[in-house]
Amino acid sequence: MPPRCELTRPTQAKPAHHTASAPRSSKPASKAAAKPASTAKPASTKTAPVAADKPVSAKAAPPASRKGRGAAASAAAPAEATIPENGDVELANGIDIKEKEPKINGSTPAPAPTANGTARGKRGRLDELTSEAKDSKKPRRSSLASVRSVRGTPMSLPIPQAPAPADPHNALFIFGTGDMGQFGLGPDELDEIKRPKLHSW
Amino acid sequence: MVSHLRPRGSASHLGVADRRFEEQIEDGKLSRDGKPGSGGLEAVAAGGMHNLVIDEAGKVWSWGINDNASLGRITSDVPDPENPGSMIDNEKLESVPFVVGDLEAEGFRAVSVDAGDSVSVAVSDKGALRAWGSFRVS
Repeated sequence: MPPRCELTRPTQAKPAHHTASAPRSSKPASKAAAKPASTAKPASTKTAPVAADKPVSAKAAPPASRKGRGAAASAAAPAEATIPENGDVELANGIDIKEKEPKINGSTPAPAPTANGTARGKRGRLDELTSEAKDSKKPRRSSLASVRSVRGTPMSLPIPQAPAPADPHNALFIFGTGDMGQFGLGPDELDEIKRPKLHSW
Repeated sequence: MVSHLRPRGSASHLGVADRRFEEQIEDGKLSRDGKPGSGGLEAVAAGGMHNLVIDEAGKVWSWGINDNASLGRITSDVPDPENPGSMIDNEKLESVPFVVGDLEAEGFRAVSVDAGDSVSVAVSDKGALRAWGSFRVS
């Protein structure tokens, strides 16, 4: 058994290249050995011919393989595809996608529709996030621009005008604490005035 | 505390029902020369420990504590013109209203004043702004 395996393995690798030059005796040996050995590999080799046969036979096949690939590696491939599409900042890619990927994988028991839905959902959410980020940036820029424009333009405030003389004239009342001369009544009147009192103006 | 108001209506505006306020106003005791219409106040501002008013001639008067130069005038070592060789009492200079001399010297016709803790500002009829005192946090 082991010598056969040793013989078959090199014949497996070679026959693909030397099938035409190899003798006929080696071909059946390689075929016989290739069949059992091909059970390990054929997963990749069979899918290739199947995929090659299906597109010729039916057009619905490739989406099935895509769905299978999408179901297997839906987390990696679409995420990598959506990020460069949006192409935006580390904030959207770094934080939100990492938070959403486990939710999408964990929340999608159904295979195909959820895969498409999650891809669209990711794009939609990323678009929303990017739009929000852009929107949040825009007002800042606009506010800065408005400040700059305000700085650039001269201020135009109305100049206050002196009021017309009041007749009778305005009166001044004082009350409260005046221990530090706040009343303006002189150094002798520093006591507290509890009720409004006319100033001796 | 300083407030001013038009002497119209009754004193109940102040929460005080006392007729003698109205009588004093009608008598014109608040004018500078004791005659009605000879000069009242246009504006008043109360600061932390000082007050400002604008008379009808546009002059700024100040009194109170002169901390951080909030009064805008010198209140120490001022010679008394009536008594040569003597100085005016510091307490009198602070506790009695006096005109802010620098503004008057430059012809600053004030139309608006305001006061903070130790800061004072005034705006003229030409839109010029003058500020004095200090704006430090106490």
